[in-house]
Amino acid sequence: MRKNVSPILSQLNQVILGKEAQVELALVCLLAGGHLLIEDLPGMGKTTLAQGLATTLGLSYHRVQFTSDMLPADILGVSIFDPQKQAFHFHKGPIFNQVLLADEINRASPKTQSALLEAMAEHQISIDSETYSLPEPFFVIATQNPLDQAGTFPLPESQLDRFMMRIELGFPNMEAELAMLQGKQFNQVSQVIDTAELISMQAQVREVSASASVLNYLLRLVAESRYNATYPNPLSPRCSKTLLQAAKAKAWVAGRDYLLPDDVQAVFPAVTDHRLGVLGGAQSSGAALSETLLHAVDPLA
Amino acid sequence: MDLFFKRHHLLLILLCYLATTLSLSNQIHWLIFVLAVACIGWRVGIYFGRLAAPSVMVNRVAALLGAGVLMSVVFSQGLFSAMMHLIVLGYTLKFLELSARRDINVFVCTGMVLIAVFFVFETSVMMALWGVLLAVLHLGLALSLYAEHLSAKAQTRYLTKLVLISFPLALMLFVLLPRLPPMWKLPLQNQATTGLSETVNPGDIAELSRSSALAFRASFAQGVPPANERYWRVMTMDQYVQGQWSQSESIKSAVRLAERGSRFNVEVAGTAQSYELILEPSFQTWLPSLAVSNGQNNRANLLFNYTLRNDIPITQRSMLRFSYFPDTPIRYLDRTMRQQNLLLPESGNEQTRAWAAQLKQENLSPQQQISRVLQRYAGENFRYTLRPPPLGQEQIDGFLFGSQAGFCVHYASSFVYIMRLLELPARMVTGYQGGEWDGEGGFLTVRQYDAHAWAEVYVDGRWQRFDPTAFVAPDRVESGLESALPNEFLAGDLSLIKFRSNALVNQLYLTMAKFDYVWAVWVLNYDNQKQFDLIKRWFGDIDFFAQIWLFIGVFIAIITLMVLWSLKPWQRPTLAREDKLFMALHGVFSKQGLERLPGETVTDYCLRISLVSPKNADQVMNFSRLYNRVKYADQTSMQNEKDYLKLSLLLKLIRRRTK
Repeated sequence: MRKNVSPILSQLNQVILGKEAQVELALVCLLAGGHLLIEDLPGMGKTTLAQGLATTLGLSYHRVQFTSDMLPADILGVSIFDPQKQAFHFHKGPIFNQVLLADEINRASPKTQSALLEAMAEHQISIDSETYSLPEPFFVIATQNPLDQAGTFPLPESQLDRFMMRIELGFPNMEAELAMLQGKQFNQVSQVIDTAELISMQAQVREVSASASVLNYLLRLVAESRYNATYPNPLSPRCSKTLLQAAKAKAWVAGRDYLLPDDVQAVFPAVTDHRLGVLGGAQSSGAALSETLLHAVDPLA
Repeated sequence: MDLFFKRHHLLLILLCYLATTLSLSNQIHWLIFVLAVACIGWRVGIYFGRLAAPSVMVNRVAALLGAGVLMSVVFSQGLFSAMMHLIVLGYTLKFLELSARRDINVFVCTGMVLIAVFFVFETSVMMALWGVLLAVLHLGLALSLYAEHLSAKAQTRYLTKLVLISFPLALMLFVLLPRLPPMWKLPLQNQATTGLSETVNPGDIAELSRSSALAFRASFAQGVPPANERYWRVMTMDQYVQGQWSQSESIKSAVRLAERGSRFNVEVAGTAQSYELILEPSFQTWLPSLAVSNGQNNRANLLFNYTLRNDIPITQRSMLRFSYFPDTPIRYLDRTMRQQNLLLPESGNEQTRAWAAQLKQENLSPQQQISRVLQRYAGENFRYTLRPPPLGQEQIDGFLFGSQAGFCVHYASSFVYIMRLLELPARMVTGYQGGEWDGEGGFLTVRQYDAHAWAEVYVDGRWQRFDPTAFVAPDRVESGLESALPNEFLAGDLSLIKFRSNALVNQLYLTMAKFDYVWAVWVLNYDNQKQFDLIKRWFGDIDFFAQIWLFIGVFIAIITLMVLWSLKPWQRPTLAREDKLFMALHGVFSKQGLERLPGETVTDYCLRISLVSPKNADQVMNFSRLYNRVKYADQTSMQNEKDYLKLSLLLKLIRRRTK
């Protein structure tokens, strides 16, 4: 574990107890510069994690609760006529923050969901033929509830593809929950690093070297998803790029400056499951498609 | 009904049966087909549940009865035919007891034997392909029975693979397996003779000229003779009775003598030119030859009229090698023969007789007389046609003074008649003239429409060839029938030959002809001698036992190649050296039942080992760390070398500790 990463993780692990793997993945996602989709039932700590991440990393943070009557302007901002200056003035929306927590993103109408698209992909928004840059770094952390589907608009594939990872928190084990009930949870979250440090970490992540055999492994994984009929949605080139970034961040967090197949495997389910799977969540039967894929491709060949 | 027996099995069996028996239908007695209808009907009835399967007793009685009846009918056709009929009987009766897997096995095996029998009768390229198809059909039946779990597509792919793999083996067996002499004699097939017949009526050769069937092919060692010298003599006709030319008793007795082994010896002069003939089956013993030819280790005998006769009829495509001596004159003429070759009916054809008598009185030399007669053909309104008008009782008169239209036999016949009236010994020769030279393939193709008749007259102490047709239709001799009679050529025939003015068709036709030729030379007539020559050319002088060893060697080589081809070791990626070390480690622990799981990385595998056998934990985890560094890290080659050495030492340590 890299030295300057462990304080971040130890603080987050005290915010969310017993979810070390998910917490690390979430951090990895942000270090790789990707957006995060947290999918779980209400009350599992989705928002807590998102909030903890933002505070720990010292990022400006805004939470938007998505509802079905929400309009794009509610997120992006709106131009208002200023009678004194005789001109339109743009009021920035909540998106002009380093972390946007889009709570229950699937409750908003597709129009509003789509308003996030440009922001997520290009880190900028265009309104009334004006283009506004978003602050750097910029993350969208979205949560959604997979079960209560009435009155929701499931995210389309194009939208899903823009999230680097989708993670599920799941129930905590008994020990962790006991600790939580005993009040061992850390409530006072403090800033551990600042934005400059985060940006330099992201730069270091990009410097992690990937040998030809790891790249080959990654390519074979992606190719298998394209040429084997088992997988209904083949992985896109954007996905392979994302996968590499995420794996690099994972390797960096582990304290290495080179990539292992293990890194790819560690991030693979979180990165690909929402891209491989049929719309609306995990496969109902048996192992997830990403697991099948990992078993089908030999990392050593 | 057995579970395995599906509708498509029955259909396939029916298809196999019909295809095989119909291919042999020329050789099979019709009673078999009657029986087949009954048996198949019964089997289909069983399939639809309308009939009960016959009892074992019924089967036996049917077999015995069928065998008895068939034998009484076909036994006279010889042992081979009888045996074949017994096999076909078994093949047919199998329908009555097709229920177990074993029955279909028997059916397939019997079918294979019948396909082998089929190859005895049919030797052409197309028929060979058809035979292969029949075999594939039977294999497909067997496969569909045993590979029920595969889809139809997979079965087809499997079958194709099997067939393709067996081809090089079959080829090798064909080329190298030492040929044993036949263990029994095959029957002479009861087929009509084709080609020239032993008697000639005026219309006969015109009839033959409508056929584009192949007569023979020839290739020459010293270059092809010019078209107007390509007179292939087959038979001589020296007896004229009632408008029909035939072979006299003297020729027939010469044939009988030759059959008993007596040989006619001829003094050859001049240089020898050798050539090879590939004869189509004519079911005759007479062979076409250029004058004067003698055989080289053939069963062909020269008769006193300098024609060649084979010991046995040509029943399949066969290759014969001859030498011919263009400068050797045909001299033989004894007293009986002279009389025979002057003999004419006492009377008849009075106009011709009068004309000949008039010519005789002019006191010319024989050569002058001959040229006067030939000039007559050239000068008057004689016409060369395949469809001459009918002649009356007096054929020669009717032709010479009436219709003046005829085919080669008319000309040759009337010419010989006049020669005999002029008291010059003369005879008619039938054979082939011309042929099509394929310069690229180096062979001459002679077809039935190249059949021809001409005359030989004994002048100046030797038999000289005169072809009156050449004076009427010089094109016929120079460039063949097609250019001599463009309108009548192959009228009503739909073969490719007619459309050869089209370049594409011509090309196709020539290619087919070439392929057929190669087939005949290298497949049908691939005998011990050829095999020996071929092996000698490839491997140098070699005796029989060396040949056996060679055969075994090549067999093993081919099998090895096929195994290599299916395993493709060259496509296996070469392992990196650290991977080799890992494989060694894997070997150590897989003996303890710790196999790497699908998709498992080295790190995970080592972690698992360290959990299962804690005494190795440190070493194994170290191993995975070093391995990952060597394989994936971006480090200097020196560092890499060092790590690699550590890794191999670690492996040795682990090995020692696990012993």
